[in-house]
Amino acid sequence: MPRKNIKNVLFIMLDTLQFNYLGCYGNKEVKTPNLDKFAEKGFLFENAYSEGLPTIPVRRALMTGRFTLPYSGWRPLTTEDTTITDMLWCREVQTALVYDTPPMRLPKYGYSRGFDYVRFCNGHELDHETFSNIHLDDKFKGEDFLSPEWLKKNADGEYDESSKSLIRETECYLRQRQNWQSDADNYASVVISEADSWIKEKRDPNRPFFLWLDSFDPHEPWDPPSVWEERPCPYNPDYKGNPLLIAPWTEIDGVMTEEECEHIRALYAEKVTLVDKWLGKLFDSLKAQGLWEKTMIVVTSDHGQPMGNDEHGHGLMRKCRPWPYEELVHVPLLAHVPGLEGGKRIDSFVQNVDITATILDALGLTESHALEETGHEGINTFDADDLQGMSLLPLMRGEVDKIRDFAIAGYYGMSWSIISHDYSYIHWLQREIDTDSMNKIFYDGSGSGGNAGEQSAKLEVKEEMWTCVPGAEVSVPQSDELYDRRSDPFQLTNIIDDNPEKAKEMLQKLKLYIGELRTT
Amino acid sequence: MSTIIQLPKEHVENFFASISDAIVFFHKELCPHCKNMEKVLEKFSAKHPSVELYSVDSEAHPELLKKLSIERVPTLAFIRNGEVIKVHTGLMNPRELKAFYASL
Repeated sequence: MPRKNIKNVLFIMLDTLQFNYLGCYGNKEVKTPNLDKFAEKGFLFENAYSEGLPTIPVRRALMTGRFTLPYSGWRPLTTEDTTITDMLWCREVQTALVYDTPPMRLPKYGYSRGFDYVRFCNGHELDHETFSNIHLDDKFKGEDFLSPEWLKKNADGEYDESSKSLIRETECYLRQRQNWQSDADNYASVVISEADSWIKEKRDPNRPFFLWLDSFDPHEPWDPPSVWEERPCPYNPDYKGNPLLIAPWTEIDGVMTEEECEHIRALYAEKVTLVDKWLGKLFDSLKAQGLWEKTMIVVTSDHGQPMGNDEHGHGLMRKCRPWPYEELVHVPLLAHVPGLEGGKRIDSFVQNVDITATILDALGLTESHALEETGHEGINTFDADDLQGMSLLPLMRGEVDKIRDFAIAGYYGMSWSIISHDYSYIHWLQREIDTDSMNKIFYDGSGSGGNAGEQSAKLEVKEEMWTCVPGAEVSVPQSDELYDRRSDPFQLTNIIDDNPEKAKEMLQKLKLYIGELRTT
Repeated sequence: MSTIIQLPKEHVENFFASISDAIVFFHKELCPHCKNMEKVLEKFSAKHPSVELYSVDSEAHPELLKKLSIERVPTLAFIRNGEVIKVHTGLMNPRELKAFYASL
């Protein structure tokens, strides 16, 4: 039986929504009135972290309720992965996925599997080539939407390959945007409206629903309304250069200026405001349909985005290094739960895998006997013991104060980190890797269509990771990093040399926990 | 200190000659992976009571490590009819251990 008062679940994933761009997480400049109100009346998790980064491992963690960091990175779902739709198979609840997140779309990856209704909205980053054959009006030129400093010509006066690639991608967005009418044409607006349309018109109103709305916005391209209305970006009105629709994956030093990074962040912030506006419309629609008091709504993101120096991205533009710093791994997490008095900010560490357990709990499916009763006789879809996430409902009900003492985060085979209230610690398996190799090895060449996890599957965590040497002292690798989280939450001053005992303790705790996950 | 029974002296001295079916767990006091492996072994043992399970503190028995060419822990030595038939270093989850044991 579903929990009292909860009939439906709406799960809203907003890709690349950095927590500290939201008013409810303390931002004073970026306008996010709808999410702020949602948080004020509901529940806000102060210390929510994604574990395995980025897009695809996060989706797998959410779909399976299992950690990915100890096991594998950017790869397809396999038959070994039991997803939430497997668990909801042959049950009363109807399931829907409305999304425009291209990495989830690649059929070989299988991340849309099992939903009763699937609607993909075309055109976002990685799916932009869908529009490459549409005629582009002569007045639009890719170069006018990029910084001229990023575009390099070779000896023959032609753009080099990476410049051509940036221009081509930009022009794919322009092909979609040349007929732009209003902000209803933006990606977030379209996908949110599609979700609303499913709720209003397409679902079976007599059955409960679980809707996964996955909006790739506010992920780049940074194409908020001001770009198309040819007015200054409200968060950086004095900027004089071209709009910056997209930027190279790069270390910033020597490639981009501080002004450019600042403008990218302003355009990003404007996208965040746009996403907030359209979520407000969705919330209003749910209220008008009488669904607000029957529907648990969870809003989160998979990660933030490096967009500059220091706390803005540790010197990176976009995720070209496997660096699990705060601006990337700390995520917003908000919830509205019918029947529970909200207005609570929850301090406990929580991880994205806990969301899956919460959704199942809300739908009344946590007890193992309920899960075992899936489907027809003789067809087992799920082993209840496999879930590693923990329901957040007891926290929201106030029955417990915390469910985790710390969180973990990182990139499979490349970096592990542990975050506690007092300290954060990063253990590098592979810190330095150039952008091309990162794309090829970790992301599986996803920019060129992906090859279904073959590369990243080869990224084995070496067996030595799981062993110790008899007789040797517990040693902390020199390259590891320790930060005072209370005074330095964004991890800018490494204090490992002055705190060897604390570093050792954090490393041991991290290895113990990751090993525990590896063995369960 | 492992909660798994320590390998009796007689088996150390006769190098497992009188054991018919056992897993010997080489571990180290401060090794986090050994703590996790121990939990897996306890789960395995509950389902396979006929398989004897012993622990060896790797730092107290360098001679056994040398004999078995063990350089890192956790390491499992699988014994059948007095012979060491397989040595495995590293973590395994319960499913992997079960499959590994079944393949011997």
